[in-house]
Amino acid sequence: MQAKQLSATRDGFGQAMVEVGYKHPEVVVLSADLSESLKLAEFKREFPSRFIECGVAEQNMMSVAAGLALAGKIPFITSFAAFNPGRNLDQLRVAAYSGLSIKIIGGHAGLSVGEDGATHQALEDLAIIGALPDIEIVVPADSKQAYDLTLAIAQRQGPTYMRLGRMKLEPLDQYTAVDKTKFGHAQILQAGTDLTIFCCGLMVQQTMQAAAKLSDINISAEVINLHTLRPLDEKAIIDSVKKTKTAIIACEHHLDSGFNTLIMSVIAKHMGRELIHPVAIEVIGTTGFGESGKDAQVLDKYGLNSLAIVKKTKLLLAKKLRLSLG
Amino acid sequence: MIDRSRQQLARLAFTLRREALSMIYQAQSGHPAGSLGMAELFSALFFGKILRFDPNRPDWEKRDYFLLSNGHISPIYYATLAYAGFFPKEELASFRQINSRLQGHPHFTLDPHKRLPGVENTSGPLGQGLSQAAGIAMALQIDQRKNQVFCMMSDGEQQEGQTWEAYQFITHHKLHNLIGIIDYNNIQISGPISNTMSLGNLKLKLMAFGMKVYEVDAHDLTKLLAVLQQAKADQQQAKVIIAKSIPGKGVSFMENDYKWHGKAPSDSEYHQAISELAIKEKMCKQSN
Repeated sequence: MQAKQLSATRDGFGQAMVEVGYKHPEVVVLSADLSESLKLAEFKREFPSRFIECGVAEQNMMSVAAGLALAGKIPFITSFAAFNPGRNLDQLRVAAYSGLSIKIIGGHAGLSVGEDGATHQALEDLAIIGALPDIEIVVPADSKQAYDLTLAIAQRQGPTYMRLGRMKLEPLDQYTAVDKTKFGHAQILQAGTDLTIFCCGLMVQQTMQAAAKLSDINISAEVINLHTLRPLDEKAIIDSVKKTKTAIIACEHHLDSGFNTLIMSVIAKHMGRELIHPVAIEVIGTTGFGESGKDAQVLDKYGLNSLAIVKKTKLLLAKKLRLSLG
Repeated sequence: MIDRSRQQLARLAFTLRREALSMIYQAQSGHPAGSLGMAELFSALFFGKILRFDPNRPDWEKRDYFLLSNGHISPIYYATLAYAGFFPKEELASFRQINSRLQGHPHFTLDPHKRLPGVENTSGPLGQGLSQAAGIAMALQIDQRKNQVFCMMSDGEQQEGQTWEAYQFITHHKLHNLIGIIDYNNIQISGPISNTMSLGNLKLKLMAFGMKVYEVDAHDLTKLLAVLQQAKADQQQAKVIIAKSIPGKGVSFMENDYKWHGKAPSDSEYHQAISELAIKEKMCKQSN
């Protein structure tokens, strides 16, 4: 396996925005003094009149974007997820109620802004957005996927949230021949029979590493990257748990909300219909707030790594036995 | 000729007041004080040749945009839109009722079945309208279009930090195609503004933010029309009009009483209010 160059999802986003700019003349970008962090320098250079600096004023930025959308523009609203949607939920809620085509880009999400600490580690953004109706949600797992999803969301009607990270990640095709990213479709990175691991964002590469370790001990894991959380590919989720009767759900987010609850509610909804057996579930995510440290140190401390997935697999398979599913 | 038209606008302001109050009475819910206080402004904006619009083409690309930020005064806004021909007057009776396009606070939607023609933005949560207006003004500038954007706000919503973020944005980006209007009636839900959360010297604050500030009596149509025309013609600076109004204007027992911010009248209060307004409306006709 040849090592490939590491790249963050924000890099793929920034590159894609230049192409989006050329393809869609109505696209404008708003920034709350974080254009460098969101990799928007090239867009700014190519389309200076369509780059709108808002200063450190995220609430105004969101409503300005609503106004731009009302006048026919497609605004990409960029800041850190801790503030966007963390600080401008009310403004977003009003814009979403109008069904406007606005694209909310939450950068530096999750624990993996290491040194900045808990104030900047957005672990609730998917819950905030998920609590609002009709906002599509994407969480790319690598730079290339961020590129593809950026192009995809630019041409979708209505509001969309995209969660991006700062940490440089291995490309997905490091592990496997990956299907082309298709908005709204789960990406099955590895087929398996003993358990399913649903993941998104940086947990995808951790999951692939865990799956390799599990394979060494003859445990066959199915790995499903849910890069689109809304609309959620319910069929892919149900088809997989029908087969494996087990699921690990892994996301760099609070455990009590967001990714976990979205997937568990799909499983619960189909129970007694397409699903006629229980499903054993383990979850991986955070409880409480984060803290400062190197990305890898923080992720390790909070159990967001491949080792944690392997450990959870053992618990999960024991549950499976107890439920007489195995 | 000008005077005659001014009299017509004055009369219309009272007609709109009656409509607004009837809507609130029928719904037994809504906000009378601000609605009554802004009647002359709505009359001037929509019928005094200030706003460019075509009720048969609500999306006409050359229209001026009017955004209501203090969405709770929707009764007077809806009455104005109906009288301007955007939708049938009969529909005003559905205000705040189930299955209505006349939501308690204005709802802009792309859904053709729910959309109320003439409404340009969703409002209600205070402090957002000026930012929305700034976004529209920015889009117009990017596209080099000549339309102008008007945004009506309340004085209470100047307490929202976002409003000041918006002034900052407007002056920084030189959005000279935007005109803010503040209904300065000095009441909010809990009492007088000065007791609840004083705005201090609002005019000086706005000037310090780089805004050109006009002050006007919100019930003097001659002055209102003059200041609106002047603000519209001045495209060299960011502008805001402080319109000093009497909350509840036109109904003796509602005037200057903060308790009428968001309360519907009882049967007897309603009948008294309507007869007072009818007399004043008639007086406008007589002096015509």
